[in-house]
Amino acid sequence: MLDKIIRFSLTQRVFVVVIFGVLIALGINAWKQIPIDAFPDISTTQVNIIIKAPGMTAEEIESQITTVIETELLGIPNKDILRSTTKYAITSITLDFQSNTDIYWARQQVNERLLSIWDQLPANIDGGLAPMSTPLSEMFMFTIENPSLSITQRKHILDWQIRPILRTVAGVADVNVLGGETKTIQFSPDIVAMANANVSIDDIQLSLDKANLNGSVGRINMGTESLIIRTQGRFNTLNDVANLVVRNINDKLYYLKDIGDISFNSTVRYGAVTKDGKETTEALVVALKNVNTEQVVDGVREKLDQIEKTLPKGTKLNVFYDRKNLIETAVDTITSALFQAIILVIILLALFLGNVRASLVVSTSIPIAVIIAFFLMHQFGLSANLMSLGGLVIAIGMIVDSSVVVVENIISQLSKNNNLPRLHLMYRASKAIAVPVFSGTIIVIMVFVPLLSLSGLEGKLFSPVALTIVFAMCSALVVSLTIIPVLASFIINNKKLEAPKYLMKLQNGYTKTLDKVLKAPSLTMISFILVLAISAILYTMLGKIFMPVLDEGDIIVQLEKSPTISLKESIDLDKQIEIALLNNVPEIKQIVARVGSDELGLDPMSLNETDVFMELQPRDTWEASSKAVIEDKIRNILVNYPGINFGFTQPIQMRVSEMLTGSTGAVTAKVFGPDITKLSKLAHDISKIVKNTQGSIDVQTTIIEGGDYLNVVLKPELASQFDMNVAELSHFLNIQIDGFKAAEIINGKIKTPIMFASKSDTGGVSSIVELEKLLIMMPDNTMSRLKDIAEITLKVGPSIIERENAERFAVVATNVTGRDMVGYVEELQVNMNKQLKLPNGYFIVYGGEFKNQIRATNNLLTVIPLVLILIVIILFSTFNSLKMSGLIIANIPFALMGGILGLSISGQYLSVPASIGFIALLGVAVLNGVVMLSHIESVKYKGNNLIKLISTASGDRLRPILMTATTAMFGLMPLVAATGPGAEIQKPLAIVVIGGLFTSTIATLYLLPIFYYKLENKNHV
Amino acid sequence: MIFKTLILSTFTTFCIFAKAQETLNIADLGQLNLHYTNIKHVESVALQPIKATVTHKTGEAYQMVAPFEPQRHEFLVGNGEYVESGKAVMLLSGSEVHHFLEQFESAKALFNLAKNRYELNKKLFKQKSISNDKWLSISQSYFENKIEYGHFRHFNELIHSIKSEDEIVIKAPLDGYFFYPDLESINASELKLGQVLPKESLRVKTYINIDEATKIKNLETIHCLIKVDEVSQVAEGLFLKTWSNTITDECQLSFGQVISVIPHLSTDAYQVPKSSVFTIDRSYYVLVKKGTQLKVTPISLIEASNTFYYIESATDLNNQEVLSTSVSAVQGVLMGLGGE
Repeated sequence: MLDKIIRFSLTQRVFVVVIFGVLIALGINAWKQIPIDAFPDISTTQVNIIIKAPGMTAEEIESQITTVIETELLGIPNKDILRSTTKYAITSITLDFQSNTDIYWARQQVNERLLSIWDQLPANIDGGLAPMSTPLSEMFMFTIENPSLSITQRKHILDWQIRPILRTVAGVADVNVLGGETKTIQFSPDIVAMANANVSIDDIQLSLDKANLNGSVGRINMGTESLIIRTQGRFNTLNDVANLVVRNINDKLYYLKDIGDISFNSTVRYGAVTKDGKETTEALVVALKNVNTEQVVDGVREKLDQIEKTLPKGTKLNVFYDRKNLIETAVDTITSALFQAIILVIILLALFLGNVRASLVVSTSIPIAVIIAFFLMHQFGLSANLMSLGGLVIAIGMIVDSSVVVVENIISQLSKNNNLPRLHLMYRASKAIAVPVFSGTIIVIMVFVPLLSLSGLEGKLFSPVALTIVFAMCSALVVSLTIIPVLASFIINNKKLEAPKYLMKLQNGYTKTLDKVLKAPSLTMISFILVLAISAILYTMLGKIFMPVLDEGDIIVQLEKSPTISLKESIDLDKQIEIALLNNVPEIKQIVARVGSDELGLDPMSLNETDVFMELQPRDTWEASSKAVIEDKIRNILVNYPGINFGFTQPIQMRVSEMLTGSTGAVTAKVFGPDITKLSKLAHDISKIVKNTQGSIDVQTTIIEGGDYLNVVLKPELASQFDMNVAELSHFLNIQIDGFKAAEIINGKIKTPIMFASKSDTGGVSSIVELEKLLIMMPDNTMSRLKDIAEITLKVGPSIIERENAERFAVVATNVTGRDMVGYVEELQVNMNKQLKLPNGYFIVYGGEFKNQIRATNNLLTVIPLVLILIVIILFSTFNSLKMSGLIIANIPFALMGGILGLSISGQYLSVPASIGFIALLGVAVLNGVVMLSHIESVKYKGNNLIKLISTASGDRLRPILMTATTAMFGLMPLVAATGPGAEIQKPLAIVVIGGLFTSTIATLYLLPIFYYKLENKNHV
Repeated sequence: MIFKTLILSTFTTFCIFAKAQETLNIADLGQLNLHYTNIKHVESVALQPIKATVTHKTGEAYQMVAPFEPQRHEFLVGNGEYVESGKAVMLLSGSEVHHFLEQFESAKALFNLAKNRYELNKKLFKQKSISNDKWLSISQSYFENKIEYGHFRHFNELIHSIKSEDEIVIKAPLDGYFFYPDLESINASELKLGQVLPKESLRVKTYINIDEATKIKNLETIHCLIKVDEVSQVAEGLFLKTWSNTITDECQLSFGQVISVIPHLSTDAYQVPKSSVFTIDRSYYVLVKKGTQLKVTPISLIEASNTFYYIESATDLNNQEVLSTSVSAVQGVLMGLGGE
């Protein structure tokens, strides 16, 4: 089969060139079209429902909304996990589907079920499916700046001028508006005037509903024509609202303006945005799942350029986060690593081959294989991102191997100057090494194929790496057996290929030292075993993390203030901190801080929580030497603001962390059960046990109980005298406290709510005493104080209710220090079983980051034996000998020790990418072993002196082994040297492979011959 | 989000279990923006506005009553207009006016006749020249005529001028606000021509909750502050009727006007900015400056205005300064927050 392919290629050279020309064109086209992103899509198929229920407590929302929806969603097909978080006035229900579930299908399923029960939910709620986004969807953020515009005006521009246009950009799921104030027309009832006019709130509402509409009447025939008639009543201006007639008593007209204040105002705010110490308004563009972020950002920028010209004079759209910058920086880092790798590999090829024409032919295999790999990536729906491009960099050093072998053999055959036709010689040369080339490539591919079975985050991140390497290696294999012989036929002459002199010297030196080592192997073996033992010890001392942190360029500081803080006070503290940071850290270009909830409810933070987003100046202008130094500067400022907790994160890191781990603790114990009080107590008890378990650190306990709220209970015996009921009272209080949207004015696309709310200049109700004394207008239009008709008591209830699969739970989270995670969890489980008695219906589930680590470890523990078995099978099929296969397998630990040494020396942690580096290492290490052993085997009967035979044969294989190892090592060097954002994740992998190849190559060159000698010496005649 | 929830919950734990320490060194508060406000002692606190009516106590208005029913009456001043004594306020016309004038003259003549007869016979009766029965008859006639005449004369005193035999002009009997009569009374047998309310009778009437009514010292209107004069002892539902002192011109109020008044509650409280007050474990505190330290001082809230709370404290807070900025951060310190 392989020989037929080679023969076809050499006989149909023009056709092959054309075919590859087409493939290259397709590949280039694919590169242009391929979605470019920072990360592969690591999100699960997730559908989020957000329901806002103004004024409702967490417990009320849970019973009336969350439970109803959850019950309906429980039976949905392909469901994985159903989670919900219910807080004051909002519930967020998230349904994770099994992987590979189509997101559109999933959303349709959820939407159908939601609509079917919508009527069962309370009135005056608002919401539905959240935009089809992922945690990585927040890809473009800007503020609107104009000192002469108020934040209400800025928000108005964002809401009605910018947002509708940006939503037309393909790939934009929504535009989340944060901060600012929503303009309203507010009617503040004067209950004294209302009582005087004998008008109730319901009367006003009724008048408003009946007046604020355009009625449809019909058409009249007018001669030969028809004329449409309508009644017009819709309000257009504040004056229209103010002049609404609400009562006519004996020709005494009472207008709305007579019984209260009418003014432009704003809705109650649940969050705010500050920029450099001043309040402003922010827009956050949320992209759809699976879109080309670069294209979306370009589309958004184009629209913004158009919009900016139409905005009021002096208005600037200040972009402070553009995902494209990160993508470009990260992709630049990886792309430049890719090009550096290609150049290094070409230089190495030239050095090793010593022939410009041969080097040229081999070098062409790199771009061709890479471009075809792009074509395959596009066909398989892979995006160009840090991981997939990193995979290409890893593959660069390996994709030349097969071409090197082919070209070297072609030159070798041609140099023999047989009288056979040149193309035939090339065919014979290519055919001769076709099987080893195929086997060698398959070995490398086989090592990576099992990585495709990884699940979870590691699977989502590293499957693209493995897939890209597989694509590149397959391309390289095809290239080496098709276009490379063809190119060789055009470029390479019949001149004998001689190794360069320095290589010859190296080979001589190697042969001599190997000869000595084979005669006295003990010292070498002891040295190897000693280093192996040291690396085993170092392994236990290596720090272990799940994944290295990607430097995203920007810094987010999360502030946590007193939980009962007001929005105003929270903003004041944010401003203080922003000004201090700007004055003391020159590396900060601008600060945009967001406190509280966003408008869409995608991340409903509390008023005490602030995300302080810092855009940094260009790196070359920094006084600080690194981002870590800037973080230290920021830290030094923040410690001067006591009473405020802070933590560092980055935009993507923050969202990914929230999506994947659910909590910051390495280990979490979730106790499930129905009763809040019991859950609270159990969480407290569990917390004690966790604290007493050795290794616990940073133990955090959710207190689901503890939300204070005022309970207003009507005194029915008194209230009934005034016809007051709970509904009336709630309605009245709602107007006094939060405000009530009674209607809206529609002017084109702009909708302005008409709110019934108390006067903002009175400061509103700000104490229990005030609430008690609040004057209530009774349905009979008399007035009374609230405390006269109702009991007001301070109640403690759940401030937050979290549920998983329709069960309430409380969490205790902890980090673990000084011991292994699995052992810790086992001990914790034993302690729990001994010390905690769970009531009936209550149970504990353990989770947290450790679960990711354990899953990753388990996955790797499944993958690695599988890889080894595959290698053994391939080796056995190559050598037909278990002994030979065993010898090569025995070489593997010496490869691994180099990886461990590399990690230790570089100070890197053992992480998932490092583990994958170890797997990648296996392929090259085994391949080198095969190259070495197969040649020794082929010459072992060509003499009696086994040592001489082995050392000579090994010397013959020095060049290919060094070429294979050094091209792989130097191909990865740019990744190790890279400092830009994006290199962090691939760096441990590269270090492991480079370190491993270093020791593996030495082991292959010295230890493997020793083992072989030991094994064969007895049998050799 | 769950992460944030965890953090929030941890803070809440601190909230619940934190015991407010008594003092804090100001130097330990780093770069926090610390501003202080003087605590002001107040003797009254404004409550929420309530409905009130400008009116008078029952019986304080002078009722102008006519002894006949004129065919026409025309008001010469506006309803509620302030008039001085003697000012022409109304023109009565018609045959009944003529009848009245005749009746008045007739009554006057009869009275004079009866009076002369009474005076003349008085001596005779003393000398026992006439019988008791006769004297009784003369006296009875005299007093009947006197009453009849007096009745007419009183109304006659309201007459400003007689324009013709069918028209008389009525004048105001005293300084005050002249009010037109109700329509019903116009058709009554004895016509109420109107009423004049003396200036010093105009008051603000309101209803104040029973447990606060006796502590209300003043009522604040847009233009003036009026002292409370009387609080009724008879409850009307949940309220007590409360009367102000008589109102002055500066109040710019009209009779019958329904207004909003702000009751001022008599109290012994301190006024602090709203931004100074915080809670720990559902108790209220302020941070009082004591030299280089802040003293955590428990308080109780009694009332609030737009920008201030009115508080009571077991500690004497007179002439003290209270922290009014960055209070939440200091609250965080007391809860054990801070740091990375």
